[in-house]
Amino acid sequence: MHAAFAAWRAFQDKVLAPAAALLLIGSTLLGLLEVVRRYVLGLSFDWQQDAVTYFMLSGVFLYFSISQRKDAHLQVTLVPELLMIAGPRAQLAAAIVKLVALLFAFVFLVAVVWWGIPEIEESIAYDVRSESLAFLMWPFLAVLLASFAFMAVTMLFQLWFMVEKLRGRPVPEEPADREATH
Amino acid sequence: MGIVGTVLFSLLLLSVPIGIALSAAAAAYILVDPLLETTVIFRQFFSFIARYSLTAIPLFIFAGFLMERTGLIGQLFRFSDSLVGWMPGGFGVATVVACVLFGAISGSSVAMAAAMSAIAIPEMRKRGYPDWLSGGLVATAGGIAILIPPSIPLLIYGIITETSVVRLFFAGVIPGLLLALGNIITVIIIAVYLKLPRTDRFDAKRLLRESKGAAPALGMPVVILGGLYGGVFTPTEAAAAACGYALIYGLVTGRGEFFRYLLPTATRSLHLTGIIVFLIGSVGVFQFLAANMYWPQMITRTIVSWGLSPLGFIFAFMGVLLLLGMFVDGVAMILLTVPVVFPVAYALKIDPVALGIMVVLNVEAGVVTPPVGLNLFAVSGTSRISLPEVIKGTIPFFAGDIAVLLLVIFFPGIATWLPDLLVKPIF
Repeated sequence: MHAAFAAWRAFQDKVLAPAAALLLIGSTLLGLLEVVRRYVLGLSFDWQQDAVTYFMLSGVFLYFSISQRKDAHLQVTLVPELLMIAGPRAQLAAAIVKLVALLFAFVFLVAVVWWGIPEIEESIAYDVRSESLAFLMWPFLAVLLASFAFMAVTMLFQLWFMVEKLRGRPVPEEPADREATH
Repeated sequence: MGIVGTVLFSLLLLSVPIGIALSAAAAAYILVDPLLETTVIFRQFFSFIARYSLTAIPLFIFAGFLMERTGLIGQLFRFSDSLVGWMPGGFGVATVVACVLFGAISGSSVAMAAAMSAIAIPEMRKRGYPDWLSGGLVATAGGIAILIPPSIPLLIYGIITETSVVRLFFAGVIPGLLLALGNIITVIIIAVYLKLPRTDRFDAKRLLRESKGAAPALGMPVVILGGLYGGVFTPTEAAAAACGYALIYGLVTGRGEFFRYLLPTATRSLHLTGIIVFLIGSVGVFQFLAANMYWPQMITRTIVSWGLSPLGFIFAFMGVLLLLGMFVDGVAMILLTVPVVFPVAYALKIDPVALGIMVVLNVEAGVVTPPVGLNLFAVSGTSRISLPEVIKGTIPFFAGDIAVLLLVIFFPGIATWLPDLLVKPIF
């Protein structure tokens, strides 16, 4: 399991993160180019807004699972934190609360992935396009679906390691990254 | 509404990620309603966030991080010090001024508090400032960034309530400056009371020298606000222009080095944006259900039937926000409460722009209220000042923040005057 997690981490850090960053930088440059074109040359690509929106969002989606690995998605941690300071038994209870929360989140994400598949099939079947009609929508929907799936995979590893930790076994520690959103 | 509320609160208490809790609570209803399909969860998540206006969030975050990466905070701090460092409590005053200036470049409060504590606190220590004062000041002054445009919380508020982001940005300026003024007055009074040494005299030559270094940084707010004011840019275009400015500035100052930190800076921006977008998408799922079930109308009717005055309603809402600010992040605070409360405020004829500023003032207060005041941890972690010391130091400044909030509640014109003056309605 440790080797599988190392491989998964490498995939996230060496494939997903750079791909997401390139999508962000590319969309930023396109947005910038459009500002210059519109106000300097008086010209505009009709597909620009769609391209910036969907490519940038795809980059953001790809990053969901990495934020999950860093335990950064916002939570109300009041109950586990109160339990953590209330003695060793309560600490065990806090760990179990976190485990239950993660298990629930995992099951729900798997369900969302399952529920999302018909949406993509429908998008392909009806040839759904963006507002400018320049882009097919299904690839972007597929990126979101894949990103949810990646999040679920990350949660599966986290669940496994949480159980292992409860059993007193050594687990890889991911430094939590709780950089605030404001 | 009962099922959804119960599921939502249970999941939140269990510490399930807020985004998942919101979507799951909506799913709980969708699963038992034969008229709704579960595919709607995925569809709504996507369609709620797939808007051009939302891309301003990653762009502003990216621009702020790029500018931060160029070592700009140090330059702005030196410039501020040369400008106001001669005053009593001069280093503290310079810290506040630097926070305002950097706030006009980056909308991130915690990033600024962390960066500023690394630069300003060692200097304040050298000059005899007690740790509680320097820690408390930096933690509180960091919060000013989220009111001075560009502000991510104001952007999010504007997107979910469909309020003009340009008006909101301009509305944040005066309350933001009042917060700064409150902090400056407080630090001067404390410095005089503690008889802190005044080491520097005003040096015009130094000010001129530091101005040259800081000038490129000061150009960015001119691009953003000037573009918005002139009607040249939409907020998204202003964000793209800010990124362009930051990219050019980074390229000129960093040269080859710049390319090395471009990808890590982009991933850092994506990390933050991912958290926000995941939450906004989930709010979209929840809002879809609420709108279909006519909950906003029901809640509005109920609250209006209580005969609550607009002021009474605002005080009740602000009380809830202050309480929430102790436990949840600012963006979560906005996304959990505003979609529910906004229709009621609208029915009570409360100005949406002024309300947005009040909400963000609460977010600003939330960054220094324990146990989850993130600026407290950022400053304590960076400066190695103990958490209780930092908390103690925020108390006098926090009182100033609450005073500004009360001013905006009783005189909403403080927030709406500038946008009324500068932003002309198109239609």
